[in-house]
Amino acid sequence: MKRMTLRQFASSKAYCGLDLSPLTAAIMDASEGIRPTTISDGEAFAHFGCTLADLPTERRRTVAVRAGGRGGKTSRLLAPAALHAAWTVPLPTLRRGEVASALLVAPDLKLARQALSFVIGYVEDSKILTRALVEPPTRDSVELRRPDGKRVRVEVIAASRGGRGVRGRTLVFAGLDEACFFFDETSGVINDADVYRAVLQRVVDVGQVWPASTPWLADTGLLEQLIAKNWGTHGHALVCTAGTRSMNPSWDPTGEIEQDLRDQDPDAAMREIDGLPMAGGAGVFFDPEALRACVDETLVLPLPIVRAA
Amino acid sequence: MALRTGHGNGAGVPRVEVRAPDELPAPVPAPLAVAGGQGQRRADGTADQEFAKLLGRLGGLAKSSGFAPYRQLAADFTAQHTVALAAMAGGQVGPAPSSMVASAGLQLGASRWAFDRGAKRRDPALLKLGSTLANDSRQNLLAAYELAVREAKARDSNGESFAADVERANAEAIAEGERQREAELRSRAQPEEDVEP
Repeated sequence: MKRMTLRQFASSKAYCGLDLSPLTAAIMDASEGIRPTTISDGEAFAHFGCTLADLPTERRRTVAVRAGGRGGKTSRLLAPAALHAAWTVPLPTLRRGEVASALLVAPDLKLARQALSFVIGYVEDSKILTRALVEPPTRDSVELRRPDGKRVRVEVIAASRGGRGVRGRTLVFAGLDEACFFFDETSGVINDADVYRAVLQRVVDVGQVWPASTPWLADTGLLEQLIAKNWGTHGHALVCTAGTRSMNPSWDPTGEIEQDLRDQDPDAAMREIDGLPMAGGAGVFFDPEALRACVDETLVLPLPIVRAA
Repeated sequence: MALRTGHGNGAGVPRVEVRAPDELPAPVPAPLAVAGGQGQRRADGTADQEFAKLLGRLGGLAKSSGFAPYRQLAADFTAQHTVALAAMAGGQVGPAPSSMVASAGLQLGASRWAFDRGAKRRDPALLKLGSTLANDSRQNLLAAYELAVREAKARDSNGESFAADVERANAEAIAEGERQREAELRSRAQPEEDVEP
């Protein structure tokens, strides 16, 4: 049977019932290797770094989105994508009694639960998905029994050191929400790359990993590296950047909020509305570019010669 | 529902207890395309062919008995309530809950007959009978609801009706998505066609 696409799932009244913005619809289409029909070549160039024809025609395992706040990254991209994966990703090797997971990872549990609350809302509003509930949703997970009998749990975890929280699971999806702000709570270590590596290996075929975030520092962190490496080419990951208004044209119709933020804190407005990160090194003690320039990989550290007695 | 051992006046007779309305299981929504039941009355009050057959099967009572209009009330109520119950029980009402609804309909009709007769004859015993029959009708309706919903859940866990509903929803989502995509492609192609000489 034909698999329902993410956009069809998100728009369908039987499932999420969303009225998607043109760019959100385009990201959903492009994430599955479908050429978008809701944006122009010019818009594709601005948001994906290439024309529509140059977007990949096959799905990428990683979909990275950097966008301004209130654009709907969590409610209209990560939450429907997690639910869609939980509902449709084939799980031929899942054993009896085993429960697969669609993970929503965030810097802390409070944020992750916010993402899950959107998922729960979609489930409770859907006559089909409500009937698939194994038990009433909790604040940390919602478990569905699919028509094929497979059980999949959409659940939340906080980003932890080494990505240890994501290990030992069969994953259909991993959404790294606010990935630019992943720090281990106890050690303070930046762990976005650890979490990404841990989930990427565990996500089954057809499943995807979606790092998405409002921007923070340019050239720093997993999301920025993914964008730098794949911008316009989308070799290993589909990458997209956008401001709030492109993602959510109905945001702040009077322009009052935007004007207020631009007047009071232009730097924050650049990040939160335009979706642009702070200049390199603005938040770290040493500029990563300067550090890289200082390192010569060809030099050998002189060590004392130890002779055998 | 619970099966209890009767005690007091009902000792030696098993007793089926019905749960209170606020303890009943949540309904199972019916698919959107549930049919309206076995025939119905036309706007002018006459029965359509299916409904006339149903009434015929129920058997007629001589008009002179005075119960005929109440029997009619019972039949109407049974037909309407069965449809309403199906909407809350996954679209179907099995034979067992259907029989309970039919009994509840007859009890309701008989109750109204007893009230009317009791009022006319000033007979408290008949009025009391009317009240008792109405209560019996209520109990049957509550039991029918619980059993119908339980059966619906059993059908769901069996997976057949749920799988069919999912398949239908998926097919509609895909078809709607494809229609929308074609419309978008057409609207994008339109400006280019306009500028062609």
